[in-house]
Amino acid sequence: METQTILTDLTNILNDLTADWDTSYEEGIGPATRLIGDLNFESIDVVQLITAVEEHFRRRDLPFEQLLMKEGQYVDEVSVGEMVDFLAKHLN
Amino acid sequence: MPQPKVTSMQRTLLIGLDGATFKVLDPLISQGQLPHLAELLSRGVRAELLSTPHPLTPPAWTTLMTGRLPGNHGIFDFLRSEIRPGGAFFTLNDFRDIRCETIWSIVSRAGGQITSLNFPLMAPPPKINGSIVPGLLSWRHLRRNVHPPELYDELKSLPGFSANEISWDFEHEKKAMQIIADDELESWVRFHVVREKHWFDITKHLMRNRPADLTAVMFDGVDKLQHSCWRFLDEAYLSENPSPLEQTMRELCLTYFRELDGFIGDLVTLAGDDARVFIASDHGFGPTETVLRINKWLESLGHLKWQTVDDQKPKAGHFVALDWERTIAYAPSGATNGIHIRVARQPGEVGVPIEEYSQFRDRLGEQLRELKHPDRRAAGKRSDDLRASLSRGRTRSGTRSYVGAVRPRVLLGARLRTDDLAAPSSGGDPCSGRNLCCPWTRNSSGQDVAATIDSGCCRHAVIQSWSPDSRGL
Repeated sequence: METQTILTDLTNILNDLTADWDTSYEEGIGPATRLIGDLNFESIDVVQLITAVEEHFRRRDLPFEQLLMKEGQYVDEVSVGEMVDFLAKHLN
Repeated sequence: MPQPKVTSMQRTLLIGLDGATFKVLDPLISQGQLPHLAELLSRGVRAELLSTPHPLTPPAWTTLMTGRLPGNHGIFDFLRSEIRPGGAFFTLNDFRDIRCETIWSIVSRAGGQITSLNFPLMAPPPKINGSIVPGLLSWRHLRRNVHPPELYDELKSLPGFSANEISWDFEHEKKAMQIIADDELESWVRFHVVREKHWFDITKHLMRNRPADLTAVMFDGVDKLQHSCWRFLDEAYLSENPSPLEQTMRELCLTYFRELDGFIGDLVTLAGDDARVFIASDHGFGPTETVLRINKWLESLGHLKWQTVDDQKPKAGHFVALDWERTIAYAPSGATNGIHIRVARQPGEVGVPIEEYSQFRDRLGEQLRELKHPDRRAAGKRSDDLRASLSRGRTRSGTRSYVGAVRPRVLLGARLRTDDLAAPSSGGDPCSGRNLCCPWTRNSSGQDVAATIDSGCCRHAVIQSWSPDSRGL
């Protein structure tokens, strides 16, 4: 699956997920968009995003801990671009 | 062989009351506070049910939905943890993790329509005939998880609808597990009175506009109130000379139950005289006087090691931060009320070797049974000893779980707090909760009684069922 396709799909998922939120993020979602800093994600929102991604790509075996954890600790921030790279690596 | 379609189904109403217990309901019924429940009891059947071995909302409601125990349906907790090479990855169980068919799809498969409202683990929603509005979900994700999708806009058009107020707020829930400050108690209870009204309105709307063969709604305010307001509900703990706060809170709690009783009465009326009605709870409730920090105990046995980062203690969170290279038994969260045992299936994996698992598990059970509260050691009493029961099953991660059900009034706590790692005190009460060596603590407020979870009463689930042909029995 091409990276651009993944970016488009993930952007659509995020737009749908945040449609009812008041994020005050006026720029369009793109690779530099940060889940926590820009879209006001909380930990439970990351869980729901993972669910939405798994449902969309029909995969429940994606090792999300590789994206969300570093040296046993949860990372403080994840960007859309990092997530796209992660998906490109593990979906193909 | 294709499943034959059922040509007719008796209309059924299921009302779930999370954490409801006769201990609270019976006195209120006797006092005339709950006339509709009293009337239903008078012409129906009542019984106490066993909850699941770990009497917790997710496994217990899932057992009700599937008719199977957690070892079969796979839901043991709110969380599931997957220990990966990079660390422990915690996430929430959801509908996809239920390994058995639910009553919703059974009815749907037989050609019936269902309505399922506010039940946990119903997101992402299955594609069934009927309507699903999941519970245990943040308002931010409600729209995408309502089934059918167009139902959300329909509900939004209801007067007073508030996605925020009907949904689960994780910060609120975290607060409910702690001691709520006195000046916040009133607003907490009032919030749940309003919340139940929302679910009642949604149920009524669907019963009228999208009637179903099985309509099910779960009111979880009972559980929320009892967590923080038990001392205002259990007559054994009411003050002889109540303070103004206690009087206010008692009356407010009664208001909640009276309102709920009214909703139940209205829904039963709406269901019709020929409907079959069930009311069920998932687990019981009771006071907690002592907390056993099970992870501290496991640490004392050498089965668990805390994580440190740059020699810093980990912060308190929803689940524990452990050194996964040196931990083979742990309780992931404060709600776990049990111990997860890691099993090493391959050489080099961290855990109890699979051939030693049964012996390790049984030995842990014996040690739990031998564990005595320090205050009772001198008295030699066995009545307050912990008892352990086993619930064997495999979670999605493959870890075999050992669940210890403790006696009433002792809560197995697993939430890590920084003061749990404080240096041993120089003297004083060994059960202050600040002694590194002692896993026993009083409730965090210092009170002898606080309204928290009954982690051991497996016999307080309530079920009442009646149908027209059982009247008079």
